[in-house]
Order: sequence, then C-alpha cells, then structure tokens
Amino acid sequence: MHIAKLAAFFLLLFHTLIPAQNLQLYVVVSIFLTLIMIYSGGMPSTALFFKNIPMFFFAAVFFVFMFFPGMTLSADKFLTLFKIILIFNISLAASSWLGRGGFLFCLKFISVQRLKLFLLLLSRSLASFERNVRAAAVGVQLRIELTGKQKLLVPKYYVRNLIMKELYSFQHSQAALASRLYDHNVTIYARNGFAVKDLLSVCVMASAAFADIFIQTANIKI
Amino acid sequence: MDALVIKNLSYSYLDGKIALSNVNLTIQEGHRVALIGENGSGKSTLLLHINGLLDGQGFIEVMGIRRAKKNIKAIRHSIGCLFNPVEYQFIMPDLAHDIMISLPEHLSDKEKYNAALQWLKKFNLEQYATSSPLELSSGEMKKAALAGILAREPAFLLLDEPLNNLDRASAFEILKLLSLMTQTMLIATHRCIVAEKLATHVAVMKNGSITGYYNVKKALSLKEVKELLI
Repeated sequence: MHIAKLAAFFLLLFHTLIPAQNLQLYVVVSIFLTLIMIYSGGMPSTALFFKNIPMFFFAAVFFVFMFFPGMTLSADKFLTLFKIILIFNISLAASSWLGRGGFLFCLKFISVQRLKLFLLLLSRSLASFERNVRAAAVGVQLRIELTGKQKLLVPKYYVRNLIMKELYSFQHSQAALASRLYDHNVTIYARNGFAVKDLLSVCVMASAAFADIFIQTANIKI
Repeated sequence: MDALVIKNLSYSYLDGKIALSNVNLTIQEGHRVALIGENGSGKSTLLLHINGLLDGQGFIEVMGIRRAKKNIKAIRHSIGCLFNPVEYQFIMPDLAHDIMISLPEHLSDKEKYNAALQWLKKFNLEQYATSSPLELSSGEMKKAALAGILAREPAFLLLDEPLNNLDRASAFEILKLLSLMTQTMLIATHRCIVAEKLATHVAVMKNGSITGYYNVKKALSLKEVKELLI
C-alpha cells in the first residue's frame, strides 16, 4: 500500500508542475486531489489552517511585490503563486496521508546510515519544535496581555527562547545517539497495512491526476 | 566485584565553573545507589562521565573496564542510561522501532519487531507500538525510554531523575519495575521514595564532591540526607 500511496503522491506532485493549458480544469483538479489527500489523511481543518499561516504571509508579500514599479500583473504569476501554495499543501497533506509507516517505508530504501539518522532526527526535531511552539503560545497567553505593542514582545523573547531551546536540545540528542547507537545500525520493519479507504483514495487520485495530465499535455479542448 | 570505581574525578565547564571536584565513589555489583544532592551539585554531570559523554580528569572503571578512548564502546555496551529530560532519548519515530535499535544485530528485522512488541508488553505499552514517543504522557514516556534501554540488557543502569514529573501511581509502577531488576543502579534523585523502596545505599553529593556514602537504613536516619529528599 505504501508503494501505491507514494506513486500517487509523486503523480500529484508531477501534476502540479505541468504547464496548464486548460487553467480552470487544472485548478479544480489540483484542489480536489489535495483535499482528498488531506481528508483521507485525517488532518483536522484547524491544523491545516494554522500550518498554512506562513503561506498566507508569503502570498501577501508576493502580492505586494506585484504592484512595485516595473512589475506587471499577469495570470502566469498568479499560477506560479498557486502552484507554490499547492506544493506546500500537498507536502503537508502527504505527511499525514503517508503517515509514520510511509516515512519508515521510505527510510528503508536509504542505505546510508548517517542520512537515515539525519532524516530521523530532522523529523523528530520538527515534531518537537511544533510542540514547543504550541507550549510557547500558551506561555505567551498566560504571561503577556496581548494588546497593542505588547504583541511585539512575543518575537522578541519567545522566538529567541524557542530557538535557543532547540539548539540546546541537540546536545541531548547527541548524547542519546552516543549512548544508544554506538555500535548499532538503524533497522526498519515496515509493515504493509491495507485499508479500503486508502485504496480508494489512491485509485481516485492517481486516475484523476493522470487524466488531467493527459488532457493538459495533449491540449484537448473541453 | 566492583561495578563502578571512580577516583579523584574532576571536571570544569568551559566557562571555568567547577562541576566535579575530586569525586571518589565505589559501587559493588548488584547495589542500587541513590545519588542525592541539591540542584547543581553535579549529579547529572557525574552520570555523563560514567557513560563517557564527558571527559574529566580522573580514574573511572565500569564493570571492570577502565575508561579510555578505545574502551568507550565496551563501557557503553554495559551501561543503560535514562536521561533527563527523557524526550530527547528517543531516536525513532515510533516506539516499536525505538526499541528495535537496542536489540541484538543478528536478529532479522521481523524478529526484532516481535521482540520489541514483547518489551512493550512487559511495560503495558503494546497499544502504543506505532505511536510517536512524543505523543505519550510523561509516565508512559519514562516507561518507554526504560524499555528501550533495558532491551539492550545492560549490566549497569544510570538513571537521572527517573520519577520526575510522575504522579503517585506512575511513580510506584516505575519503582516496582525497577525493583524487579537485578542490575547495578546509580539513580540521581530527590525523591525519598526512591531511597526507601529501591535503593540499597545512598551517596550524598555537595558542590561537586561525594560527601557521604551510607547504607539506606543509616542514610534515612541522618538529618543531612532527609533534608535533601522530598
């Protein structure tokens, strides 16, 4: 099942990169496929919204730059912005859709131990960073009344503390690696689970993405 | 046989602050020693030296192996270390795989996976086999980390604050699990219950030095020991 899911994921990524001849169809199919991935992966919509906040910021900056002197507004630029946001969301959705099992399945094919460990620690650090951001947000709400200029204190103190905490945690991770993996390799036993929901989503995604790629590249008028 | 011998161990941090000063400690095989002392007295730093993660001046011998660069792997093989904070101890994204990295290399991946499930069952954590360690509660996380280090079957356990952040029931559960083990233990702690229910001896640490080493009965009658425990 992991192979099928991975294949569908890459097909979807490839779909976002093709030149779109029929723009409306391309946009509709892209959003439809991403939503299938998000909802069959079980990501709550609030989590999706919060994870997209950096993209809102990016889109706003992109939009402002388009009104700079010498810049021209064009559909191509909006399409590029749409594709960037789409790829971000596909990657985001894929993490919950492929799941921990899918991640381990991918790691199984990496033979370089150091690269395997790097990816493991990177994913662990990102997960703990996300947790810490949530804890910091609660801390901010408890200690600072978030009105007016007080909001400026958040990046000033908490972001710096968060980053320092993550850097400090590397020391602990290093100690864990030294004491637990001094002569052992990372081994992975990827279980191949099967769920009807996953099979259906893979079939729908793969066939819709493939059909749209065919329509777009063959320039069939609908 | 002495499981641990430390003679004249001293260590200073890069900023010049003295962390350990002339530490001398001998622990016999099978003993469970509670290492107590105020915050910042050097307990965790001492544990990191025994595991070879810090390199101060002095003599350390663990399970008959003298600390030297060429012996570090052999020393680490005989030691299981429970860190504080415990969440950084986990390397793999799910519990079963985290225990798998502690199991013997000659087993196949499937055998390792099944053995890991057995270890999780011993600690009543089998339902979390595919869960991330970061999703567990503090008590479950401690138990999972302990399962990970015990799967390697070390002869010597270094436990840094094993009951930190645990409620009464979880603390008793961990103590019960530890009391069933035959390994030599050095347990850095502030909890009186560790001394009462688990330790056979108590070592007192103050300003980077061991200032006293007693059997548990005598230690619990001393005022200086009682004042350090909660």
